[in-house]
Amino acid sequence: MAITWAPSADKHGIDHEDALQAIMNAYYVEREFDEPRPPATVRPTLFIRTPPRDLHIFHVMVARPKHLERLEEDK
Amino acid sequence: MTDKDYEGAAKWAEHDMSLPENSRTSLRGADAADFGRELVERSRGGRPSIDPDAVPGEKSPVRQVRLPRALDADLEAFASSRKRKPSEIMREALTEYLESHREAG
Repeated sequence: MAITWAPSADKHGIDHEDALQAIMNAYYVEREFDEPRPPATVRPTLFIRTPPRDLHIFHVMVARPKHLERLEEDK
Repeated sequence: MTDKDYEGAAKWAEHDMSLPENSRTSLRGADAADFGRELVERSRGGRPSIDPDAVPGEKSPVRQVRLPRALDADLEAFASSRKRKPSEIMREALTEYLESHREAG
């Protein structure tokens, strides 16, 4: 059981502890996604297991306005 | 999965990912935070004690309570509808009961 980080998770220079704090204080969690376009080939839901024994983080970024808008919709 | 695969997934998440409308799988507010907390805690090797005053390694007291079937089913349905665990609901309920009755004298 461990938390590991892909090199791509550090692209925006966000501190790992800050990223974990964001996960643990999430406002929104989505577990189903649309099909990825190339170069991505795998949907996140195919490798994020619930409940996981290991957590591998592949990307961390500041939430986009379009995503923040989604948080306010469909309530 | 290789680093290149994750790089591709990261690009997808950053540029192409869209959150579904009217999602039936999304969690919000306290449910989202609970999910995230459990995700991290499990991956770190276990959940922390439910007792904030417990010392590391100390086990919390356990009490077993028999329930009428109807109350048990009610608890299961209530917890499931809120994506929470029956044990959490029972701890909350007991805390509220004790506090309210203590205030009432």
